[in-house]
Formats: sequence, structure tokens, C-alpha cells
Amino acid sequence: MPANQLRIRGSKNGIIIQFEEGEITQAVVLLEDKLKANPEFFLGTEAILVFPAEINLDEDLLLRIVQILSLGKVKLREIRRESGPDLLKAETDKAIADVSNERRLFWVERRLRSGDKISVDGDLVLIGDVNPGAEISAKGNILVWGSLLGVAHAGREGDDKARIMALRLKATQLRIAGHISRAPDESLEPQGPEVARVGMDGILIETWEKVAKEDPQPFWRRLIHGREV
Amino acid sequence: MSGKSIVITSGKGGVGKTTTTANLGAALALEGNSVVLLDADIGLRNLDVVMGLENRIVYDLINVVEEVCTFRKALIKDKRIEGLYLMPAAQTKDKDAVKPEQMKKLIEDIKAEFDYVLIDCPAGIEQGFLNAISGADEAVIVVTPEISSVRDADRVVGLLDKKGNIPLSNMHMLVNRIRMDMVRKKEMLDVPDIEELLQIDVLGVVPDDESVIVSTNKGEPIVLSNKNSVAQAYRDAAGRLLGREIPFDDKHQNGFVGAVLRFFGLAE
Ligand SMILES: Nc1ncnc2c1ncn2[C@@H]1O[C@H](COP(=O)(O)OP(=O)(O)OP(=O)(O)O)[C@@H](O)[C@H]1O
Ligand SMILES: [Mg+2]
Repeated sequence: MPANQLRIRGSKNGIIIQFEEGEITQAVVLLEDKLKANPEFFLGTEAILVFPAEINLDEDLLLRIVQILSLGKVKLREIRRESGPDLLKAETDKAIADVSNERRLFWVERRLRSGDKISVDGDLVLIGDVNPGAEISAKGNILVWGSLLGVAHAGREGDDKARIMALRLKATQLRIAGHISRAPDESLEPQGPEVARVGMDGILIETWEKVAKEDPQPFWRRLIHGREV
Repeated sequence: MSGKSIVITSGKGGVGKTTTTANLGAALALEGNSVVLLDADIGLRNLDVVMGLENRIVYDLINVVEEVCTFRKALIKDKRIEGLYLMPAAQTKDKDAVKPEQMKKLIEDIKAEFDYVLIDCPAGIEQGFLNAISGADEAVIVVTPEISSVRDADRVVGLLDKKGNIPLSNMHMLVNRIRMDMVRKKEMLDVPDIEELLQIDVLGVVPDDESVIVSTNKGEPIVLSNKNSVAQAYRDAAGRLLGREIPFDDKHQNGFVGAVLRFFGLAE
């Protein structure tokens, strides 16, 4: 197996794990090996994953990588595409899959900057960050593979079972159906991926591990396989 | 010859676009390039004042666009720095007096004869901004270490990408008015914080220094003075624009540590 399938280097924002073109599953195994071989190099760091534009990402793959990283106590901070301008500017309100008759999944890969807005009639999977001043909204659930710093609204048409997950959930404001919660004035850095849902007293935020433990079929799993939530 | 056009923009007003245009341009000219500073802040021109060339304006950008004179005729040659020219804005017209296509054509014409055109953009994201970015190949986004400035810069990066057709790889940020003493006390955003949000490369980091105001009032680009941290920061930024690898350092420190280092002759 060629060693250049995976390149790992340090940067001031964390370690950059760069996947090269080719067989991605092999690169993932390679990553696991490297983590096991040098745990102290990775321990407690933050990782940025970079994928070439040619590789098709899917959530099974991403979840697998998150698992590997979390075993090594590495926080996944961001997913980036080594993309040409086309990918960045791609039309965003296009469903990539009609996963069922009622529910569509929108897969968007780009960084949303201040002033940008995405609104979809279904579930939204976003690969990239939502910067402060940007807004995302979905009729269903929202999954952000990156930092959610702007405003997010899930269950826009009243579904208070909808949830919002982000690798780094630090939103200015979260809305689920008719519930609103805003960032506390002194917001702390989240320790890992988190999930927001509506509880007894409005919106509550839990770690992704906790949700995954309590619910063997958490919403993001169901999103991936296109089943009804 | 085909030169490069670079718009200096920010979204937020008063963060140092004009100062940056003047000093980056002067630094590029000092390196032997021919440079035109184009004031696109129509109706609120002040690049001419910062450059100390106000009293020599005869024609302006609107005259050129309206074909009253050639662009050559409107250019004012800087007497201190070889190869440096100013294309003044009109003070008496408003922003709608030029159209993006006219601006584009003018910049193309200048690029055919000069190495660099630096465009001083007005604040905001309205028509004046759209005019100023229309002919630019690259952009320098000036940002100060304040949340509101970073937020506006982020918006501008998004707009440049969509409307200006300037790829992210041709955008650079220049962090202006940083105070390392405040950064160390965590009272001010640091460069990596800003970088993380904007995700574009850093062209330069310019300290906050009152010498900028002094030189502005004298009408003399600060890069002409040798022992000055702002001047060095702009020269470094120009060097990076020319493709040189120049490391960032913390040598030019304000505050206590900086004072101690300066006392022992370890920093300027
Ligand atoms: N590094 C610095 N240190 C101290 N003062 C500075 C610095 N940079 C700029 N200034 C001051 O800030 C003020 C605004 O600068 P400048 O005119 O360059 O901003 P601008 O972005 O062009 O403003 P506008 O949006 O109005 O066109 C000026 O008074 C200038 O002297
Ligand atoms: Mg100005």
C-alpha cells in the first residue's frame, strides 16, 4: 500500500490529516494504525480532515473516522475539501437523495460565511462551518460536520422531534420548531460533538456519545440510511 | 506587459484601507515595480491627502471614464518614490458616476502599462464596493482585531467569491492595528482566531501605532521611514505579495515585554 495515501502534519490550529486520491477505506485503516502506533502524538489534539474533491464522502465513512479519532482522544474540528471553485459554489438547494417520499436529504459541502443562508425542505447535512452571521434552516434534522457558530433552525415547520448536531456546537442561536435558545454570554468551548433537542424545559444540549448510548439508532444513523425518523 | 490589480477592501469603515493602499503601494514601488494607486472611494476621496498629493490634482477618475482625458494625463507622479502614481477619485461626484464595466476597462488599460494597480475601495458593500472590485484580480481584506470587523470581512470574502469572481486563493488578509500587549492579556483577538474564521492566507500583521496618524497628517507614506514597526510590517506584506517567504515574528512588540526588549536593544 502506498504510504502517501494519508498525510499528517501539524499546524497551529491542530493536526491536519490529509487523504489522498485512491482507496479511501485503506487510508482509514492506515489512520487507525498510526493512531495506535503513536497515541501520544495525537492525544488531546484537534484534527482537521482534508479530502480531495474526487472522493465521495458518505456518513458511514465519516462516522467511522470520528470513532477512530475519539478512541485516540482526538477532537475532530473540521472537515475540508480540497475543492475547486466549482464545488464551493455548487448550488446548494439541491437534494442529493430522495430518501423517501416525504423526506429528502440535502447534502451541502461548503463554508457558510456571514450573510449566507441555506434553507431546505428536508434534512440537512452540511460539510463545513457555519460562521457567525450565517443561517441554516431545515424542515427536518440538521447535521453540521464542522463548527456551528451562526444560527440554525431545525424542524422549521413545527417538528419538535427534530435535532441539531454539530462537531462544534457554539451557535449564536438555536431553534427547534418554535423553541429558541441563544448562546450564553460566557459560552464555553464544547468538549466534543453535541446534539440539541427539545426536552421538558425547552432546548437542551447533550454530548453525542450520550445520545448514541441511549438511542441505538440516533437520528444521524437514520439519516444516513434514509429511513424515516 | 500585463500587471496585477488588487483591491484593498474591508466591509467595515475606518479599519485602514486607505493607509494600506498607500503603504503597500509605496513598498511595492520601492522594490522597483511600477504602481498605480487608484482611489475608488468616489465622493469621499482621501488617498490623495494621505499621499500628500492633493494640491496636484487636475483630472480625476471620472474625467478619464468620461473620456475628457487619457488615463495617463490624470495620473499624478509621486516625487519621492520612483514608479509610484496616483489616480485620484472625483470628490464632487457620487458613486453612481461610474459603472463596473467602465472601471474594468480602465483597470485593464492601466494594467497593460504598469506592474500593479492597487484599488482603494470604499467602505460598505453597495455600488461603490461593486465598482471597486469589478476589475480586481486579487483582494487584500483589511481587518482589525474586533468581532465586528471580522464579521464584515467574512461577509466580504463571501461576496468577493460570489460576485467578484476572485477565487479564495487570490484573497489575502491584512490584520491592522494589532496590540500584542492586549492579545497576550486575551483582551484582543489574535491572528489565528481571525484566520480560523476567514480561512484565507495572512499577508501581513500591522501593529497599532500613532506614527500612522503622524505620517498621514504629513502626507508621507510611512514605509519611507526606516526604524518603524508599521513600515516594516508593510514592507514584509509587499514582499509576501511578491512571492517571498517572510516569517511572521513577534519582534515588534508593544507593552511591557516590548519595552524591555527595546531597552536591551533586542527589538526596535
Ligand atoms: N496601524 C494603525 N495604527 C494607528 N492608527 C491607524 C492604523 N491604521 C490606520 N490608522 C488610523 O485609522 C484611521 C482610518 O484609517 P484609513 O483612512 O486608512 O481607513 P479606511 O478603511 O480607508 O477608512 P474609510 O472606510 O473611511 O475609507 C486613520 O485615522 C488612520 O490614521
Ligand atoms: Mg479610505
